[in-house]
Amino acid sequence: MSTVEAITKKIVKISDVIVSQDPKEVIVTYSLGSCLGLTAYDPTTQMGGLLHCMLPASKKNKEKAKVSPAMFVDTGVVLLLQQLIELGAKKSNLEIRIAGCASSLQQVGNIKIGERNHTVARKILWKNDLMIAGEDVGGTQPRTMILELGTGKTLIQSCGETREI
Amino acid sequence: MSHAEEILKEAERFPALDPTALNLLELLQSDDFETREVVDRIELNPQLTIKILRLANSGFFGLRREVTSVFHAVNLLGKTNLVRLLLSATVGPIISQALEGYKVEEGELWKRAIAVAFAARQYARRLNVDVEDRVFISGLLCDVGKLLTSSWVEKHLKEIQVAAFEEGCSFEEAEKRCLGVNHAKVGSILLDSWDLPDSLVEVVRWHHEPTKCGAEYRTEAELVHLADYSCALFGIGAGSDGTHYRPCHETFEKLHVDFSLLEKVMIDTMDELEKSSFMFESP
Repeated sequence: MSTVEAITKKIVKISDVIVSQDPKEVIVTYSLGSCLGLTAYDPTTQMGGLLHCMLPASKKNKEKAKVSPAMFVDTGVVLLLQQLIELGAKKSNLEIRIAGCASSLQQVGNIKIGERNHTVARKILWKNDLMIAGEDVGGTQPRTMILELGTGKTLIQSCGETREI
Repeated sequence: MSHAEEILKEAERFPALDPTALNLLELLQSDDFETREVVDRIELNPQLTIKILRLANSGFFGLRREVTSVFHAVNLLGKTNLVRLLLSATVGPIISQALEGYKVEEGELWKRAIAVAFAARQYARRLNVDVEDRVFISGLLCDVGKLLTSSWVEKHLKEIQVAAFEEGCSFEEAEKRCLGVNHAKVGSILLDSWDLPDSLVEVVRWHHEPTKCGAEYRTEAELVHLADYSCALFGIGAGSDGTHYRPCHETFEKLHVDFSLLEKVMIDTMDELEKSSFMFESP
């Protein structure tokens, strides 16, 4: 961390989203496997959020998506954008970074959850005219994703290493 | 003495489960037991009594009346829920510890265990296999060997990570290569030393390689494999092993498991996990 002030950590669970405008906060999500982790940050207002989605599309699970929109990438990304805009962030300022979308050691049949999550995320972001500023996806290693509100940095911790994306 | 021999020796010294609960589990395995006998044994254990009353009155079962006696609770909960509760009260505290080797924080292995148990039951239901209760318990205990292998994984993590992430082994194959034994085998030896049924010992032993399981328990091993693989894929309770596991293609093909089924199973599993937060509390 680049600041010595007390930092508050907020933890995003699976199928959850947290937004914040407190520069003394960091938002963290652990154990991203095939799930998608996505951070959005507006550097002008220092507002940002982190989303942790399990599954790509809500199409076949509309009822579930109403109760738990962050479970799915398509509804989750929209929810995160809405919450940030309601908070006062400007959509065109948002820096988007994504992580996770891992696979198992071998793929089996059409079960390609990580790839599907990645594809849907890119599609939804494209539709919303948002570019991906950085990503750390694929492979089989677990990832922890961290958004520092004070600096706007998105960090990835994996296998004992920390890197910024 | 080789690493494997030392690990297996440690398994012999590992503390056994609470004898009251084990006794009860054994009693509940038989079809012929008196509710009164079950109640009497529970009442001898104040922690279990409290846990059972709390569970009976929790929103999980949606009961409208307040349950104030163990007798009433046992009657309402039924055998299946009672078995689950006994396991959560006995196995939970043991399996909740942080595992340094696997980089798993306190409570995460237990959460994974419950998720695998729910997912195994969901697969059994959706594939119409009548072994829901049995796979629930096997799923719950399938990674119990990690309690013992963790400190060894910690000591050899670099070596294991090279074997896994650079040389193409799955994580449990890397354990076997570097330690001489993997967590599945250690788990089965542990369960055997606790005198738990053969079905459980065999399913836990082969949950990563279900086709090697004897015909009698193979379907259960396959269901637990599917559940464990699915939960690992979503990173539930995952640590240094990540999603670095190999699916058993034969099982996926035989049981026709595709994206759609996996998606349904995991949505229901996450729902059940959310409703069962009581299982994460200390007994």
